[in-house]
Amino acid sequence: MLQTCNNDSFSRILATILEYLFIIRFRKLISKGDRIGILLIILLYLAAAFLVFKNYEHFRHYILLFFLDVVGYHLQRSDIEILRLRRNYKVILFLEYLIYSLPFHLVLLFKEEYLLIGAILVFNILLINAPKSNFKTIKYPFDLFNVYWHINFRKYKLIFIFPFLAVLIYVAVEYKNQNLIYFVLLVLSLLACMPSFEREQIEEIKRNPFSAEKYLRYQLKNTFFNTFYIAIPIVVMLCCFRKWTELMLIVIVFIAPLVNVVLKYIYFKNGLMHQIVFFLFISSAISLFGVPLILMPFMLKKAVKNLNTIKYAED
Amino acid sequence: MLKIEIDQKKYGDKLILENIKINIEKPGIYGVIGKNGHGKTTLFKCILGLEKCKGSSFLNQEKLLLQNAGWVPTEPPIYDELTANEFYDFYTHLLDLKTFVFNEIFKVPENQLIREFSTGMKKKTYLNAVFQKDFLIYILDEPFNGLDLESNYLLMNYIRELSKTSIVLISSHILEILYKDCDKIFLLKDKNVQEFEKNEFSEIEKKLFS
Repeated sequence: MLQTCNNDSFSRILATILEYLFIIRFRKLISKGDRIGILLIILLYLAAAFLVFKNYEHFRHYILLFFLDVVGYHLQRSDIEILRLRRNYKVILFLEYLIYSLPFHLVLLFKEEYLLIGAILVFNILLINAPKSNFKTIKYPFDLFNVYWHINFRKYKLIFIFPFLAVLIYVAVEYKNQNLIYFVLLVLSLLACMPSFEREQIEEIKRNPFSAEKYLRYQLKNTFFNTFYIAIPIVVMLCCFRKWTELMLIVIVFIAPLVNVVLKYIYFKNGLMHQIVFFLFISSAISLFGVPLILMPFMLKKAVKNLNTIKYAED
Repeated sequence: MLKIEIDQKKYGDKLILENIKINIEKPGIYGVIGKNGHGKTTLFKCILGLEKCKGSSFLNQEKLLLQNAGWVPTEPPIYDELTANEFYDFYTHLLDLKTFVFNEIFKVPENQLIREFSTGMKKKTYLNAVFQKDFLIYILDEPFNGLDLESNYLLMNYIRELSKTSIVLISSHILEILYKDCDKIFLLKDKNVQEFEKNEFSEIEKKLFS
């Protein structure tokens, strides 16, 4: 009887802590008390999982991307110290990540990908138990006009993705699976998009002596060169394996990061809208063979206009 | 009561602490001082098991765990997305407090999001949460940083109360605060620790700046 009571109390405490951890996640996106916002986000998330389920054959090579968010979230969270107040904090983290990715786990479950589910869960356990690294600070060659390239690579330890990409290219060549190379190019492109999801301080933009147009040009130049740097290892590997056709496709890797810079300044004050429009724009550009890119001149104009508003109009 | 033995603590190849031996026999206020980067926070984290090191800490012959200590870091890991009240509730669940009567030491807006708080208000919220439970040891890393004069006064009074039954380890760069109330001061320098009794406090500055 006492044991049951203890178990009940333990479950209740666990449920409350998990509830707070999810409230914290939601409040990063929407304001306090916005229940409709929460409902919409959940519905959007479930709809995304349902879309993946319905078009599984198209998504099967990219399904791991939907679980990458957990890795990023875990590596940048600063609350582990407080959660360690509970001895079972690792169970809490494991459950949090499981619930967060549950819709996509269900997709895998209905598609009978049991091995993949197991692998993801084991990976999550390893991630939670990984010792805190005290590596030497890696020096990156990135242009510092946008500091978030350095920050993201250090914060999320993105450098460790590259050996994984190298292995994928090797497997793709060995088993003649082109899709894996496309997946590598997609990951590379998304990596290059990440710094533009961050926001510099408004004061930085205001204090910068460049005009809005020049500022945006420098941001685009910065993204172009930094994307070029991270593409080098993949280009070298593709050259080594004489994958000349795929090598030509490396140009595509640059499109999404450059578009994202422009979108960042169009939706500078609304990160969520920025992410939604980015997702819609890129997916429509893929499915419509790049046709939406004809909007770029208008988008550039809008971004410059917004930058001017940030620079001058708010004083 | 408290026995700390840290043989070695390294970050990569860099040796931070070596051969640290601290024995505290009775409740009271104990200061930890040292220049920036000399390992005060690392020492606290090693004591609490938050950093791996060669060594161990015992409180009343039992291994000291984070769960058994009131730990307040310099920059408390507080959730900006919760209100103060929600954070207190969250913290009591972490501490597994069965009976909970909220003891508010510092006044902060209860239903406002913590992200709207100043640095000092965030610290006060965290201190309010930690002080909900009675611990045998409190470790406060630069607790006065960011607090206004009144809060510093309130905090010091509260620490004095706590020190009647618990060990309170405090690090601070304001020596006058420590001189006035500490039973002992530990100086971290050159990876080691030197102990100063109350009657030896006048020597601390000479050692610290030599």
